[in-house]
Amino acid sequence: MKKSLKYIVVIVIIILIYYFIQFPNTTKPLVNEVSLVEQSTKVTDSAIPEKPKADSVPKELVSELNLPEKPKLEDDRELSYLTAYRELVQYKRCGMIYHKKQRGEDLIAEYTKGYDRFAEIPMKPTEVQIDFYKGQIDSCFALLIDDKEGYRDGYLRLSKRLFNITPDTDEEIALSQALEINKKLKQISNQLFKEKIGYDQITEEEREAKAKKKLALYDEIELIRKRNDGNTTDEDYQIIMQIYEQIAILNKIPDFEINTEEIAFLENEYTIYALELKEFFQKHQSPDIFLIFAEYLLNERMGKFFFTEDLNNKLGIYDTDYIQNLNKHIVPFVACTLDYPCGPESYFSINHCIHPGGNEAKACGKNVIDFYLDDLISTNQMIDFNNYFNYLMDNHAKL
Amino acid sequence: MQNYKKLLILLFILGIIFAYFLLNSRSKSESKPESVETVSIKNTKEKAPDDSLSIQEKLKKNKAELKKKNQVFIDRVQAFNPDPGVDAELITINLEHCIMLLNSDEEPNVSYKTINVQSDFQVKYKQDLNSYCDEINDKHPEYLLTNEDEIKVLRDTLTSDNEIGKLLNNFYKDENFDLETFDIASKIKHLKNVNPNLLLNAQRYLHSYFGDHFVKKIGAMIKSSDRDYIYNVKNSATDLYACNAGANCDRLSNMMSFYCNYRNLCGDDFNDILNNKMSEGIRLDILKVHEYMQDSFK
Repeated sequence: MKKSLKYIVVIVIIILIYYFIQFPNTTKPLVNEVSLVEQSTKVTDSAIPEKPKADSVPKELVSELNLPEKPKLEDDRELSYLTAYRELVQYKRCGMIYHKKQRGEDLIAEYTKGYDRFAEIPMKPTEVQIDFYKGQIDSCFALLIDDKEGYRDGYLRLSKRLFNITPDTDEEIALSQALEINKKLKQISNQLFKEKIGYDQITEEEREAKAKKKLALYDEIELIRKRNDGNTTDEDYQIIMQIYEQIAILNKIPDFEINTEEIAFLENEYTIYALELKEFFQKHQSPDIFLIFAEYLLNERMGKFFFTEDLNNKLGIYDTDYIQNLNKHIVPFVACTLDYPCGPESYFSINHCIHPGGNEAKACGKNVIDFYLDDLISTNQMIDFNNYFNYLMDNHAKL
Repeated sequence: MQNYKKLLILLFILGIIFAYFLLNSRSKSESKPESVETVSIKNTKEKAPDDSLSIQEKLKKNKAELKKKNQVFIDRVQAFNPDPGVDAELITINLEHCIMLLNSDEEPNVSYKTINVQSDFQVKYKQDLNSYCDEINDKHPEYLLTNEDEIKVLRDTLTSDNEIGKLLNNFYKDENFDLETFDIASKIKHLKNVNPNLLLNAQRYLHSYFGDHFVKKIGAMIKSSDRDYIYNVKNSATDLYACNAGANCDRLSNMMSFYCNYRNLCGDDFNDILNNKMSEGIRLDILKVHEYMQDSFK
């Protein structure tokens, strides 16, 4: 009897060993892997929240970048709060470059190939534009700690670094306070978004399943678009349209009723904080605070709240397309006039320089204000631009 | 006897292990993610019984069948032009906004984004447009406003063996057509003579002229390198040209519905929005390009 007990113990041990070899971590079904990625990218209280997204985030964000060897960034160098903040902003602007590199794309080749591909006669970028693009890539990679760092890890590292630095000057203290207001606004905006799309009307599992399906469908669209060397045939187009229909069906939530009371409450909260941010900018006129404020000031929804009536009645501008066009230029212009870096090597200048389309290459090597005044804006458009600029400065910058 | 007992215990334990493996492998296969059936997969599945035909061949076949079925529509009372193809094109140009409204199963306010940014003008406009489209659909069944597919079938009857067929089939789309201004002027005149509303689509029919070439010309003319702005000016100037040449640019017309619904430019006609809803700078540039077009297409 004792012997048979021995047998049983031995066999039980074998089973246990087998179990641990097969499932080293407590097993979770594969389906949940996507949701883990999503959860890790959700807005948290510890970092500057990003804009609320739909219910999916590309998986690639959390995986590693495949970058060439390069010297490590000296993260322990003494940085001012302002520099750390601007590096974080630059890091976010580099998101697309990191994303493309991570997908294994040859950045220069892709840039050259994709440059102006929607034009009737696709053009190629000039040597000067390519050089500026290379410069932008280098400055983006310089922000990564090493070639293994993932996008989100880098973002968290730089956010953490910023919040560990004590703001020193008045400008920095004001900036840190503006970021706090911004954080609250983003949280409310996120809640508003969820209320309006009925985010909480379905379960987490349903959301995950939908997100997964949508991701697969978007991937499929991308594959279809890429085949035939990027030339979409009629047949491809029809398939793409069908896929979009499927996505639209997935986006619908059956029997969803908008909670108007909650939305009204949140919109009111949003307004309070947006006004607080506006007053804040009036008291502390720094270009960085303006750029934070501009996101709300020029956002369609808040744009309407802030000054649609003024744009219509005082400036005679009703055209929403044209307002967007003006906003795109007015934001950097105001920031530049408030002494934001706008020289030939600055983000705004390079962004114009490398941008495809006609005469944009004229921006290369120019400071932003000169490019705007000399090349970008037509003589007649300058009337509208000037009116809008003066209006913004008089009504939103001065107390 | 003792050996027999041992053997039995051993067999029992082996049985348990076997059952465990069996259950484990089954539960593993169950926990695999549910495969997503994409449209391509679906299409491939659906294709299975008739693999001999390509999708394009099938489309042609379907069109032929539809044509056969809808001969009645082709032989129907014409709305704007005796040629069924040109007629279908004109129905679309004039009433595409109603076709979209009447064929859509969406709620009138599609997304929360538009609800928030709609001006009072736009809200009122949408209500009026709904009544207008219902009314016109009741009065004119020959416009086929609720039969989007039939309009497409009619449109497909266009052939390129005459000038209007060539124009409407975008024969002059190719950049290699280096059309002289003189040629453009005669084609613009031709469109106007057939029906001025066709001028609202002139940019599409004469893409070889109105494409990149024209954009560059306008950029140099108004001294701007902002492509979005140049396109905005170019489109408004060509619409103004069409309106002044007699195209339908009334408040509830298709063209004006685009300006009101998507850009908050609501007015009685295009000249009204140009004079009262557009700011000075862009208005001057539109007028400059319009003047150039008038001179060129004389």
